[in-house]
Amino acid sequence: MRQLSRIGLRLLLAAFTLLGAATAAFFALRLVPVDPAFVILGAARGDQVDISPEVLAAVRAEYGLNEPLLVQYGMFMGRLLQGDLGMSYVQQVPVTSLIASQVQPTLALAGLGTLLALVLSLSAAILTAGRRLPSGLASVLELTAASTPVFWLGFLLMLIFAVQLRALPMIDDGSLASLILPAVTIALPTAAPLAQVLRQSLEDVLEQPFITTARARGLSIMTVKLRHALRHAAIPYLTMIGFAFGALLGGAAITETLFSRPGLGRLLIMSVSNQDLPVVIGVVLLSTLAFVLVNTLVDIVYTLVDHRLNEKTAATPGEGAAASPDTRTGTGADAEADMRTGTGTDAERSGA
Amino acid sequence: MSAATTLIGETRGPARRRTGVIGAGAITERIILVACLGLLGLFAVFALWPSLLTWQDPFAADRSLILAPPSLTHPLGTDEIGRDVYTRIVYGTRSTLALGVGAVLISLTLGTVAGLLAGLAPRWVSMIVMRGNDIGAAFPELLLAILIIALFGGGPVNAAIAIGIAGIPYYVRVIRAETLKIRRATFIEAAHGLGLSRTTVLVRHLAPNALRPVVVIATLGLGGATLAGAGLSFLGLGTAPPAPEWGSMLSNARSFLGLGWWAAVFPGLALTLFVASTTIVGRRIQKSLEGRR
Amino acid sequence: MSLLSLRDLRVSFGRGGRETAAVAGIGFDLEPGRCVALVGESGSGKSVTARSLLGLHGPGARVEAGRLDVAGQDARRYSDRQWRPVRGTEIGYILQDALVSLDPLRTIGQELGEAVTATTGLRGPAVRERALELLARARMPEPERRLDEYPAQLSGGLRQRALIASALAGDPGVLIADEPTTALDVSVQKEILELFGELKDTGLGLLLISHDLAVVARLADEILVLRGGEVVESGPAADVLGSPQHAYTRTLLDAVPRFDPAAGGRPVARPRAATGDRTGGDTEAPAHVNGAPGTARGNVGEALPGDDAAGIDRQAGSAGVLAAQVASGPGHGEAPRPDGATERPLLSVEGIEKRFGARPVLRGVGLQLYPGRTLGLVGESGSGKTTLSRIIAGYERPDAGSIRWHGADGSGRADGPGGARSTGGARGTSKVGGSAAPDWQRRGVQFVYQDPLSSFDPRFTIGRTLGEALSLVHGRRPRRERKAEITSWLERVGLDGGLAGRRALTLSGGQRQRVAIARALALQPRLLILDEPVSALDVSVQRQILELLDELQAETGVAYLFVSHDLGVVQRMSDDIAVLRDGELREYGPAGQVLARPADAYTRTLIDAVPRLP
Repeated sequence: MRQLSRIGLRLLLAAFTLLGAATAAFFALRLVPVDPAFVILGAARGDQVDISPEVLAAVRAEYGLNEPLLVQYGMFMGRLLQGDLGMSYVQQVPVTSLIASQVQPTLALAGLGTLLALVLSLSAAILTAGRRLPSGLASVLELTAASTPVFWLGFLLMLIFAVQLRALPMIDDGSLASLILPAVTIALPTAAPLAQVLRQSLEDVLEQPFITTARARGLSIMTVKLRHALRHAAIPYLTMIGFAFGALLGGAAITETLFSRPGLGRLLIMSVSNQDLPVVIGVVLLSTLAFVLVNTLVDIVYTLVDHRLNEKTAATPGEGAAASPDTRTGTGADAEADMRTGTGTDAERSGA
Repeated sequence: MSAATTLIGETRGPARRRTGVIGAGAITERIILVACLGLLGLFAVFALWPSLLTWQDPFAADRSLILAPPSLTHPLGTDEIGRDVYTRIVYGTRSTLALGVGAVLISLTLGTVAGLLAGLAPRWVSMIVMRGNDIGAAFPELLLAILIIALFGGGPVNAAIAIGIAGIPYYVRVIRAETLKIRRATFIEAAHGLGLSRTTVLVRHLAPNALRPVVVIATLGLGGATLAGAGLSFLGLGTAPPAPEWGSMLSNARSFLGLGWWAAVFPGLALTLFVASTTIVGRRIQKSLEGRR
Repeated sequence: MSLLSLRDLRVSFGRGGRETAAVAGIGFDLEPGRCVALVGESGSGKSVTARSLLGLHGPGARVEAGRLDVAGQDARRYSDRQWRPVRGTEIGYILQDALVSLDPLRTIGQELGEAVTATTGLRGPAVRERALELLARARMPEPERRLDEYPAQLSGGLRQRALIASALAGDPGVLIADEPTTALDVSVQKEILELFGELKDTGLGLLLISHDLAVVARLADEILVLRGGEVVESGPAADVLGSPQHAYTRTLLDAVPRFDPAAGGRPVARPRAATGDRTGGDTEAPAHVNGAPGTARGNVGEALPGDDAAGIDRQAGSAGVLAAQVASGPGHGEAPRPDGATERPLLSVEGIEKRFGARPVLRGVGLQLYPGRTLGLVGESGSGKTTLSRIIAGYERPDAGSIRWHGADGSGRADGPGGARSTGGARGTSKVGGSAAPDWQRRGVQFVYQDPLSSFDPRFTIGRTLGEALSLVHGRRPRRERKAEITSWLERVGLDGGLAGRRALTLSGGQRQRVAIARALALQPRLLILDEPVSALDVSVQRQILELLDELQAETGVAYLFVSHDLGVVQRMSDDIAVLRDGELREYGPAGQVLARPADAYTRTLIDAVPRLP
């Protein structure tokens, strides 16, 4: 029951956030010191072109630009809810069909990139956590990867695998092979912070007494890592996945430009230089939708991993858990029991 | 007495938990830290006084030396119109870092104010700030920056503002979380218990402790913001081409990758070194702050 | 054949020049049905020894031994792979606190099942059967239900039973228990120790590790007293406890507050005379409490030229003045003092009710505090004793009831919202600023926490922490004077004045608690609330802190509300005792009467459960 109401709450919050994002986008669009009618008629910012007032008026009427702002907002949101992102100023086709034509390559790139990032980070962290030398080496590598600009990493990969070794195609030719370099390019910087977070939390968990208990049962270190530690380390890892996915979406735009691949990223950059704002907003809102969905999913998965989160968050949504009477008790009676443990082994270990 | 003692086992590794930033030994750790500080110092000199360390002109094109490999006169080679890559990296430092520093200053100022407000103000104010912040955080950072540029135009100043604004939600979250944590800390209760006034506790104990992570997140954030700035310039949305900037240098070199790798590799290397150095220094500060808790 | 035979165990950490020995030459034999106890304070190497016996020494450890035979096999050169069949099957291991020693994300059934499968290879429904059998062996009530519960849903005692059950999964011959009862209430502690006794009788070899000689006394056949990784004394339990040969063993034995209900309350009435092993010459302090000793004697007059009443009050603030104030209001208090004397109470608490959500925490509690006397507030976890002390301190507001200070009503209700000083923290507590708390509560009552470190601003040095409190009493003053007074306060609580520049983090637990006491007393309170002030400290340090508290009370006439779960410590400190259980006051009276002739059954249970030295 709690589980369900919590999921419902998260979804509601996600919907609210998305509406907010769309609203923000709409008003930002209207704040812009550029008259959309000019753009629609092919005049970019700063150009002084003579356009007859009649033509301008006709365009304004056609795009509903004469209506009061609130009416325009209502129209915008109404169409948005039906999945209509409006017309492209430049190409005179619906934004949705432009996006639809470009979404597939981006999905392939983001999908493969995410998959690679997950596999890389999981294996790197689990295999090296708690082992001094491998752990140190891996963290140096991760630090480097996390500090490397996506576009530079792409260059290096191109240089090695396409220019020097000629093993993989340098730019997109539609083949699966041409997807490998771009996918690795966005996967590496995404995997690096993920692996860092996971290894750090695994190592923290491995110091906990219940890990010693499990090992005192005769379990191997790997079994203990997989069966006990991983679950505890999963929460920060999941959180990081949420963050990293946002970075990956941004990275996709750069990677597509770098590898001259078609896709939403290229469409976005092109539309920015063309001042084609409906397309820009369409692509950004779509990415936002994906980002919010991933984060909501992550949030729901939390409680599957850690049943304790259910009890804590269900009572008071979002924040203010501090105020709930349950937690207040914690400062009183329960804390007595919790605090009295500071006597033995811990102090001893750090003293040694 | 007993038989000769036998070594049962010896586990490698420090007796205490790894304290270093990258998990190496204390001495290696120190060497790396000093190297990073040295690099950051070098970049600072590049940015503040570029002519001190190079004698060439970043715009001077030598048509006879197009895409010349590294040599004594051109230590990092020349680019596609014969300009010295090293000199352009040195002169590009200022504009590249300015993007990152500017963005961090914007996120930091606004994020800290909003974060403190969300942590200290009455509940409904906090609610409004946080829901607004959620909306900001719903956009992937780089895409939000691109959207802002699409609306208000490109160029270095707008790029810095865009990245700065896109970065705010993270700062708000960190500062607010820290403020809430400190508010609940026993030493705050103890300070009230001594009989200190509410304002004194806020000014003397609460705010300074809540703001302690600011240095860390700003240092760590500088790397990310600089990367984002260079990324925008690479996409042609930040600093525009003839001016030297690492991201746009890479963008130019893209078409000539097979002919002269140096024009692409070295600006990227400079950027990576800068970001890695700020990260290592930032984590070092983080560790030392944690250690004092 | 011994189950376990150990000779000359040496464990060291670090390497090269910075190598430190954690264990240096420990050895013993463990026979079936016997119990060997390792006793020592923190840093004595007892836990490291236990872990080495399972090959679980932590990272960076270098372990050597002259002999390590487990079930007759030389285990010295075992690899981790070879150790695994030993762990759980030959030796069961129970760590200190079951709350953190059982995986909080897994049910008891899953944890037990894992132990069963790992040690016996059983799979399928047989695992559950075996798990129930184990729970029954650990005397777990309602074993069926427990299988589906998470550790956090169990009480401390039940958790410990679950942990014991999981350690027994592989039918090990040896059971190592590391501080198995430290986190438990006395009554539960007694039950767990009885369980260990039963297991020992079935032929298990028990290695018991504790900091508490009294806990060990019931079970141990042989005792090794450890200090700094070395065995200072070993032998049959009766000899070690009965006629200790080594000075350190005697210190440990003396340091345990010897609980003897027949002896009544506080053994030393008012230890005005220095008790011996205190550092610093602070016992003669009353004459110059707030001035720096020696140098400041002449300065006090100069720095405080005003001869006004406040100035005088500032200069004294010690026994004399407080005693005079007390004497000035002798009238008849509403409630008689528990021992029948007719002194007027400093503070009286009546009918305090408090609930958190639906759960009542305090149900109509009333008691009185008298100047210069100590009220010991005893209760097990969840009894509401911390909540009560926080209400008296003004950190929480009672739902009903009153707190009277010299007859003035200080209740949250009667005073309106001013009853609780804001913690400034969590929402839901009072939002009233500190200044709105009644004056008596702001200054007159001070609070010392169990964990002093958390009560200091981490940015502040010790000197600044004390200086802040002092400036509340004296206002702004010249730097030199302030420094002198900080030094004088540090010396009064037995610390070196040079510590002023240090941060609390770099001090030991005992030193931190001294600083906390100094800060509280610097405000010249009339009542000092001490919430488990020594329960996180080693016994020898505990004793020093208790002696310090005695002396300071004698000097200043401050009243103590001493909150503790430890009857031994409470007996050592209290003139009166109040016993709290589930928010109800079960017994309240002079210490001697409560301990020697308890009227309430629960009090008797508590007293019986206290582990005692023979």
